[in-house]
Amino acid sequence: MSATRRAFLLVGTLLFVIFLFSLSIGAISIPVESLVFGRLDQLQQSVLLNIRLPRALLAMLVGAALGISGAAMQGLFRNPLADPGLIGISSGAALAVAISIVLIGPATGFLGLYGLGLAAFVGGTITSLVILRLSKISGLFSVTHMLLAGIAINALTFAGTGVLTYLSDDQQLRAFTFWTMGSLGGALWTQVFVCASITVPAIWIFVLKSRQLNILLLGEENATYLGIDTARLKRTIIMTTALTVGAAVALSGLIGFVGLVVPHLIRLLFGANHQLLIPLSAILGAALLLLADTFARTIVSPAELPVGILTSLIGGPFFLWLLIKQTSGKL
Amino acid sequence: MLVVNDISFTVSGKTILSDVSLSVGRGEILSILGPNGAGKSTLLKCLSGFHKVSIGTIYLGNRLFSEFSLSELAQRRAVLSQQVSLDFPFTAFEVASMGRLAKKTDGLGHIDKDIIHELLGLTSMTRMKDRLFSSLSGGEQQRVHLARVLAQVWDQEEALLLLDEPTSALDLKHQFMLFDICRNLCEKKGFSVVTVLHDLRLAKVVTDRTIFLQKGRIYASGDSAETITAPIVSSLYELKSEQVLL
Repeated sequence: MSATRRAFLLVGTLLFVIFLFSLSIGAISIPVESLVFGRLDQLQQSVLLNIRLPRALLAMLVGAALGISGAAMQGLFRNPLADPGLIGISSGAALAVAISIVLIGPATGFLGLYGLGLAAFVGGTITSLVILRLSKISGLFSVTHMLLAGIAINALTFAGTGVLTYLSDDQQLRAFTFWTMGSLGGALWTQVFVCASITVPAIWIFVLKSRQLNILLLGEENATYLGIDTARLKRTIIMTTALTVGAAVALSGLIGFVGLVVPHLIRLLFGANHQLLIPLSAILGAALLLLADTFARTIVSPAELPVGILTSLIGGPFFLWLLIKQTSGKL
Repeated sequence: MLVVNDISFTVSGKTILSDVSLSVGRGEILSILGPNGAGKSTLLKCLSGFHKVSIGTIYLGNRLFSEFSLSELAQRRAVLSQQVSLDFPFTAFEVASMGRLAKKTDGLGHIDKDIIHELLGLTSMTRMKDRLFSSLSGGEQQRVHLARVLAQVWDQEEALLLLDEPTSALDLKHQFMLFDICRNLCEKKGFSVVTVLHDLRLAKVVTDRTIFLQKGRIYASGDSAETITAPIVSSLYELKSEQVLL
């Protein structure tokens, strides 16, 4: 068996196991064997179809979106520290969503959700372009500038969301706070369909571009010599990232660090080749966010922890470790 | 094969190259020499099509440069640029195979893999092909990039190779290895090679013709053996004649 197939099999199996685990655990327990053989009573069936399955699917879609867009951003910026959350793309998208919630009101149904997605996309695209421009402000690409631009944008959007929080009434406030912490609590089939309709084609685009992303790592000049239209490639990657991150942010709020941690784990295990890295980041992202969400909804049950807090709790120290490792030149 | 007529290159009001003309025939190796900041790398970037020249024309095999698409150009010429940093854990083999991947829609075929193995052998990197690129020495990295660049045009005839200081990190043995490969390609496949060099003695031995650049203009040009001489070198580099060792 080739190394590629082994990698897919390994990560795929992990996702499947977590998927079964997630469906079975909760206030009403559904044993794995009755899941597999379909022996469910009425209550279990209803819990599974109306609550757990849509939530698990949404967690997987959002996780895949975050994992894959992290991998793509890191390729685009040619730096393993780039992450949509860290450099402000997510918060740019979040601000746009927050504004549209205040102006138009909370979104319901397909139209409303797509509207939120569109707002997030616009916010995400603008911030990506600003960061790309700022990180090359001295002529050459600089990681320092990229991260600093991210800090500035995060601060700005924080201020923006702060103003909106100040303006909102009690009910909006509560919704806002939970949403910025990131949660998959409101998962219904509508959300799943909206998220899938954006994320699945985007994953396909990323997979198609993965070969070119490899070559882009040689730098724009060398990629051009190899016949790649770098300007067009960069545009495609930015737009697709903004679209996937937008969809994830609009439906689940800010869930940080998945895009940073997941591609890094894949690189440690299977190397840096984007033709593997991109699809595997989607699968592992789906698996890890599903696992995190399963914990988020069960550890303090009957209450629920926002999953964004959990991912940040794990992701923050991981980022610090990565930073230390990179500056000591071992990455 | 490559004909350059009176090109000038200006960037934000500053003229870096002016009135440069040159031609490189089939099977020829041309060296571009000159002091730091003379415009050697910029000239190479104009010849590669990366910089669009402000004035003048460049023909590659009777066709205007600007008429080529990026992928057509990639089939006709390959460029080894000065520094290529890579922050990701790729193996030497993976870096070399990027030269083949650009034109593929799917993965590497058997022929591609054979070519890469052959080239890693030629650049004596076979033993280190599975090592991480970042763990290689400067000279070894340069040889991997050389293999990548050669892989890009390996199955072409009459391709153009542009090398920007290809020997900067290579030891003496591998410097000659590099030009042996180039000479072979020139003779067997009708390649042409343009290379920026700093080692004048090496240039005199391994290249056919030479142009000296000074402040973006051609200072002297001609047959390498006749052009790289003590009087020209001492006046161009502002050296005393006893400091010139050729």
